Amino acid sequence: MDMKTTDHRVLLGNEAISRGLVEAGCQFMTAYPGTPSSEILPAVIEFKKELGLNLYAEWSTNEKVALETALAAAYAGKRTAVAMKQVGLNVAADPALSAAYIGVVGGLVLIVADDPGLHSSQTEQDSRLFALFSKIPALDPSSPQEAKDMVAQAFALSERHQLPVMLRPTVRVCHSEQSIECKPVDAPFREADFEKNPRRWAATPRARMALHQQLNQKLAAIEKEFETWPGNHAFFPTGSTTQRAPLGIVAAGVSYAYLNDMLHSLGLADQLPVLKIATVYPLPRALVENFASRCERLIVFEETDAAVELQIRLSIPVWGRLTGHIPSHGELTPGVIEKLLVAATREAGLVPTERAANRMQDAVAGLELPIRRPTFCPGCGHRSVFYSLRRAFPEAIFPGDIGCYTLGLNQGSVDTVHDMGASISMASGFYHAYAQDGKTPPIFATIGDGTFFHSGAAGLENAIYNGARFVLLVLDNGTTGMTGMQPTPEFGKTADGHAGGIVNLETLIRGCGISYLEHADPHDLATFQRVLLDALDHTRAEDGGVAVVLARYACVTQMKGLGPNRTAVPVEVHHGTRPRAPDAVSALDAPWMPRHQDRLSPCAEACPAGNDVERLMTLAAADNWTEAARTLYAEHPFPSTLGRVCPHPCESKCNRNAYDGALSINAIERMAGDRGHSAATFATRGQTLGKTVAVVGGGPSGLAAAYHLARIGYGVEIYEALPEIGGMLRWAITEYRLPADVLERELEVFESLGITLHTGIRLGKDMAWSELDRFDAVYLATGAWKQRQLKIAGEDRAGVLSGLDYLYQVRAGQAPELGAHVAIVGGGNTAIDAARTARRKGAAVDVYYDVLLAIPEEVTAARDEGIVLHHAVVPVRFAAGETSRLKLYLRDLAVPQAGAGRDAPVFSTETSEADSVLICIGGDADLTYLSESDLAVNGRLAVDAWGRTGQPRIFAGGDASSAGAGTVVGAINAGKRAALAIHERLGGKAFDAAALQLGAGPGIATSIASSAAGSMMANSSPRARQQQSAPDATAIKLQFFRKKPRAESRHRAPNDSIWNFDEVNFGLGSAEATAEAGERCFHCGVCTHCDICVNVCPTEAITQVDGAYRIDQSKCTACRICAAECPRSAITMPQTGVCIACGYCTTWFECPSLKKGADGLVDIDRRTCIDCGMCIQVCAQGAIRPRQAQQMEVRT
Amino acid sequence: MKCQTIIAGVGGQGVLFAAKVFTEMAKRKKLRILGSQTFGMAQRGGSVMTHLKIGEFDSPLICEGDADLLLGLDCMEAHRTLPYLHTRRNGTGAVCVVNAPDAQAFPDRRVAELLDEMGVVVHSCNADAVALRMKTPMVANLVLLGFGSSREHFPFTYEEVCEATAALSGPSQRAVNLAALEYGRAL
Repeated sequence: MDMKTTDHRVLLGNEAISRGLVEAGCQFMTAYPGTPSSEILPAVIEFKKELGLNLYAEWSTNEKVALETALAAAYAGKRTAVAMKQVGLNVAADPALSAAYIGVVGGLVLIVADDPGLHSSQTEQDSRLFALFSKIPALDPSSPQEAKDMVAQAFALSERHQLPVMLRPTVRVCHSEQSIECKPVDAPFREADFEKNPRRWAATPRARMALHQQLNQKLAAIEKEFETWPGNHAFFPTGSTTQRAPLGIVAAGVSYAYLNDMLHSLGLADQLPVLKIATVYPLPRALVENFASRCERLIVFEETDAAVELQIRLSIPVWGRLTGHIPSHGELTPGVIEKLLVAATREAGLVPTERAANRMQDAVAGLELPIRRPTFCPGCGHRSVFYSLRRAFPEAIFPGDIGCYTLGLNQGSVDTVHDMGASISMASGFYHAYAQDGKTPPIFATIGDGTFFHSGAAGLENAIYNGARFVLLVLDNGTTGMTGMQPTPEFGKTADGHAGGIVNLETLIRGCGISYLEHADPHDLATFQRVLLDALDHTRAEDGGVAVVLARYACVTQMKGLGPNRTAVPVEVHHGTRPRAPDAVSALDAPWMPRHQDRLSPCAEACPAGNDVERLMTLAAADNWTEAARTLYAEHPFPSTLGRVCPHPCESKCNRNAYDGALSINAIERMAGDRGHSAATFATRGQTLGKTVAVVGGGPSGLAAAYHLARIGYGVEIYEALPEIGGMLRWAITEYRLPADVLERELEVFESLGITLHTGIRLGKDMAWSELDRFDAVYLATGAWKQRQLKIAGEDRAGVLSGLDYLYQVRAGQAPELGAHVAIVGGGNTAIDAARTARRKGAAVDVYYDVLLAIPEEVTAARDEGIVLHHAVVPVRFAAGETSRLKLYLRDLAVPQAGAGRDAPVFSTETSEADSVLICIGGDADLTYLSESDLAVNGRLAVDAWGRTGQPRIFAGGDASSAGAGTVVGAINAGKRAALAIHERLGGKAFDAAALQLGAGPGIATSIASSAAGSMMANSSPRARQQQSAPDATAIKLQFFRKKPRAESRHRAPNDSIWNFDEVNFGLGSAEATAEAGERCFHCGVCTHCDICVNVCPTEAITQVDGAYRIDQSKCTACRICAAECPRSAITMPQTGVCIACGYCTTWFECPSLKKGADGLVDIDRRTCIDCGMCIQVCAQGAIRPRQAQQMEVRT
Repeated sequence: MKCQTIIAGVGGQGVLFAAKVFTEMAKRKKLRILGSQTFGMAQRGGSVMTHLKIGEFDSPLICEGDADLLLGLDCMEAHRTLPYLHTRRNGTGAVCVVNAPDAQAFPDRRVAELLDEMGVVVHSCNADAVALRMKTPMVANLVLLGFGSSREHFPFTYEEVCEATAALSGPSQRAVNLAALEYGRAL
C-alpha cells in the first residue's frame, strides 16, 4: 500500500489499535502477551515491515519490565506504547503508579485489554478502576474504529499534559473485526533526547509531594478538556422539550455499541436520551450533570465494573451495579442488556417492543449438550506430563501455573492456579506448612518456560533460600503457546524476528541455586516416572532440596506436527470380541475383572530346596529372624549350610539381576539360619504312625529325607558308613566354607527328632542287605564317593591322588603331604575346594580343567588366593619329572591340534611339573552293597522324580541315584521328594505332584503350594497360591524401584585367609541383611499392600478391608490400570486387547482425537490425530495399538 | 444487504478461515462488516463461535433470535448455537448449513419440529467424510461452504465463495481449497 493514501481494511480491534499506533508516529513499543491483548504488538510489527518503519518493538519478559522499558523511551521523548492484559497491569502496578506522578515527555499510551466474562483470564478486574486508583487518564473505546482513533488522541493528550494515558479496550473490541479507515503513515521521526532532571526523574519523597500536587492539577485540566471531547456526546430525542425524560442512558465502551443495535430492535431508537462516554477517567462531571438535568433517572451501561457510575454524584436515581440494577459480575452481552433495558424502560414507564420468547433456548437446553472444555492439543507434550504425574503420584499436591498447561486440571494433576509464577512459591508454602507438622507429602509444581522467564526465578530463589523441598517441573516447549507462539528469551529470536541474546533456561535455573536438575522425556511413561521418583527422592534425601526436572518437547501447534525427535506412531483402536474368555458367560464377568492374586516369585521357583524366598525377604526386612528361620525349616533343616555352600540359582533368576544386581538371597538365608533359632527349636516329631524307615547314608539327601519323615511321624534310623553323619557337608566341603560348629548346630535337630543314628556302619560290609527287611521302607542315599578315573597314562603313579579322598583326609586329620606344587584336575566345586585346601597347606596350586562348573564366587576367591586356573587345558599323560616330581603332558583344548580331531592321540609339547596331582572330576556311586542288581542302571540307582525305584519298598536319591544331586541343595530336594513318596506309599495317601511343584522350577515346597499338599506336613502353614507362573523382569514396573547396589558379603582378605581354615566369608551384617531385603526385594508377584492400586484406581473401586483389598465390582470399569501399575505383578487380570468402553482414556488422558461413541467405545479421530502414539501407553487393556500391527499375544 | 451469520465449530476446525471467506466476500461487495471471534482457551479444542454481521450494525455480537445463517462445522456446536437463528421474517426463514455424519445426527429429533415451525432451512452433509477422502481432513470447512453456497437461500453465491477463497489461499493451497469447494457443491 502507498503510505500516502487512505484505504479501508477489515481489521481486528487489536490490529486497528496497532494501525492507530503507527499512524500516530509511535516509535517504541513493548508488550507482554496475554489474551485479549496479544495481537497488538505482532500487528505493529507487520505494519512496520509493510511500511519499512523505524520502530522498536519488543516482547518484554514481563509487564513490569515492559512498562519500565517504555517509560525510559518516553522520558527520552519518543512516542511510546505498552500493551498487556488486565492482570498484567497488576504485575506492572509499581511502575504504573509512579509513572502518573513523574510523567513522560514523549507520549505514552498504556494499552490494557480487559476480559469481561473471563474468556481467558483469572479476574474480571476493571482496569479503568486501576486508572482511578493510579490517577492515570483512561479512554474506553466502543469499537475497533474508535479504538484506533483514540490512539492518536491519547498520544496528543499524553504529550499535552506529560502524563501516561490508558487506552482500555475490552475483549469484544479487541477481537471484533471491522472495516477500518487506514490513513497515511507519515508522522515525523523523533530522536532520543533525554534531558537530565533528577528532581523529576529521580524524585525523592519530598519532591514527590510536589509532583502529586501537579498531577492533581493536570487531572483537573484534563477533566475540563474531556467536557468537550469529540468522543463524548449526548443524544436527545428529536422534539424533546424541557420536560425531563423518564430514563436517560449513560454508556461506555462496547456496551454503547450493543445498546445502539438493541434500541433499534426494541423499537426504542431515538426515543431515549443517550450519553456516550469515551473518557472514563477523569469523568467530565459537568457534561454528565448537564445530561442528567434533562432526565428523571439514569441507567449506566459499562464494563467491567462501575468506574463511571462511581464518579457520578447526582440527586436523581442512578441505576447501575452499585444499585443492583446491573449484575456485578459477568459479561454485559447484548442478551443481558436487552433484559436490563426492557426492565428499566418498563420501570420508567415506557413500552418496549418485546420479542417473542426464544423457544429454541429451552429446546436446546433439553438436549443437555455437554460443555466442551478446552483440552491440550492432540499430541501435546503437556498432556503426557500431566497424565504421567497423575498416574504415578495420585496422592501428590500439584501447584500449577498460568499457561496452556493450566489444562493439566483435566488430567487431575493441577491443584492450584493462582497467578504467574505462583506454582513455585506455593510449592514452598505447601512444603513448609506440612513440614511444620512433620509431614512431607509429595509436591510437584509445574510451570512453563515462558512463565518461568516471566516470574519464576524469584520464587525459586526463595524456595532455595528458605530450604523448601519439592519437585519443580519446568515444561519447556520453547514458546508461549497459549497466547499465540510468542518467542521466549531462550532462543534469542526477538519479537520482530531479528537475532537477540540467548538466556539459557538451564543456566538460569541453576543460577537460582538449584543443584539437582534432570532432563526428562514425558513421552516414555515408565522412564519419565522413574525420573520423577528420583527427583522426589532428592526432595527427601538428607542433603536434598528442590529438584528440578526439565521436560523439553516442541509445541505441536507451532510445529504443525510432532516436531523433531519424535517418531510418528499411527495408532488404531481394536474392537470386536475378546480373544478368549475363560469360563466367561457375560461380557464383564469375573475372569475379566482384577483379582489380587499372589504369584510364585522367580527366586522361589528357582530354588531346588523349595524355600519361600519372598516370605524370607519380608521377614528379614522386618528383622524377624526367628520367623525367617521357621519359614525355611518348613522345607529343610540346613539354612546356615545352604547360606554358605549353595550355588544359589535363586539369585540367577532374581528379576533385579539386569537392573542393579541380584538380591543377596544366599547371604540372607545364612543370616536366617545363623540368627534364628536352630531347627531343633521348631521341628517336632509328628504323631507316630507306627511305621519305620531306614535311611542309608547320612549325607544331605538322607538327612533331608529323615528330617521330613520324622516330622510326619515315622520311626527313622540312619545308617552311615563314616564315623559321623553329614556326608559331603562334613567330609568334602572345606571348613573355611562351612565351619564345623555351624554344621554341628544344624545336625542337632536329628537327635531332637528322635532319629536313631548308626554311624560307622557300611551297608554290605558292616551290615547285610537283609537287615533292611525289618523296615517298612528304605531310602538309599549313599552318595558318589568313588573317585572317577581320567583314564590316561600315568594315572596310577605315586602322587596322583583322589581329590575327594584328600578332602576327607584333611577333615579327618589324616592329610597326606602333597609337596610344594600341586596340580588339580577338574573344574567343579570339589576341584576348587581341593585347590584352596592345598593352598592353605602351603602349596602353589595350578588347576586344569575342561569346563568350569564351580560357583563363580569360589572361583574368584581361588584366583585371589593365588591359585592359577588353566582354562580348557587338560592333562593327557602323567610321567616322571625331575627328582620325585610328576611331569604333566597338557593339551590346550582351545588350540586346534594340527592334523587331528579333538580326541585324537596327539600330544602337545606343553608340559608342567608338580609334586602331586589331585583328580577332582566327580565321583561314582559305590553300589557293591546291592544284592539285587535290577535297582541299578549304568552304575546308579534308577529312580523317578520322586525317588521311586523298581521296588515299591525301596527309594533312592542324591548322588547315588540316576537323578543325581550335583549340589547340596539338589540332594535336599531329592530327600524331600523321597520322604513324600514314602509317606504316600506307607500312609496310602496320594499327593498332588502338580500342587507341590514350584512352577517350572526344580523344587517342590510344602509351604508355598496349595493347601492340599501342605496338609501332609505337620507344622506347615502353606500359602495358597493359585498362580504358579512366576513374573519375569518385564512384568515388574521398574520405575517404582530405586536403584541400589547389591549388598555384598565381606570376605577375609586372601593374604590372611590362605594361612588357616578359618571361615573366609563373613556374610552380611545384620543391619545390611535387613536393609538388603527391605529396600531391594521386588516381592515379584506378591502383594505387599503398597496401596498403589488403591491410589491409581480412577473410580475408587479398590479399598482395603481388614488388611485385604476388596474390589467393588459396581465401581470397577475394568480399565486395568491397577494391574498395569502394580509394581510387582500381583494383580491378575487378562488383557482384553479390544476396547471395552471403560472410559479411562477419554477421561484421564482426554485427547481430543480419542472420540467416544454413543456406545462408549473409543475410536481415533483421524482428522485431528497427529500419530504421537502416547495413547498406546495409556490403554492398559491393550486395545490401542500401533496401526497395522498383527494381533498381539494377550498377556495374562 | 444485512446478514447475520454464526459460524460454530471446535478449535482447529477452520472456523476462522471460513469467517475470513465471508469477510472477503463482503469486502468484494463493498459491504460493511463487523464480526467477533473467540481466541485463547477456546482454541484448545473448546467450542469456537464467530459472529459476522454484514451491513449496517454497531454491535459486533449477534443477539439470540437474530441470525440469518448458521454454518455448523460440528454437529454438537451447531445444536448449541440454534437459539441464535431467527424465526421466519417476511416469509423468509433462516438457513442452517451443518456438517453432520448422517441425517440422524442433525437436526436432533427433539428440535427438528421447532426448526420446521420457525421456517429454518436445513442443509446438512458429511463434509468430514469428503475431506478425509481427499486426504486433507482440514478442508472440511470448505467442503461445507461449497455445499452450502450451492443450495437455496444461502446469502452468497458459489462463485462468490470461490473467488473469495481463491483470493485468501496461498499458491500451494489454492488448488486443494477450490477442489474442496467443488466436492462440496457436487454433494
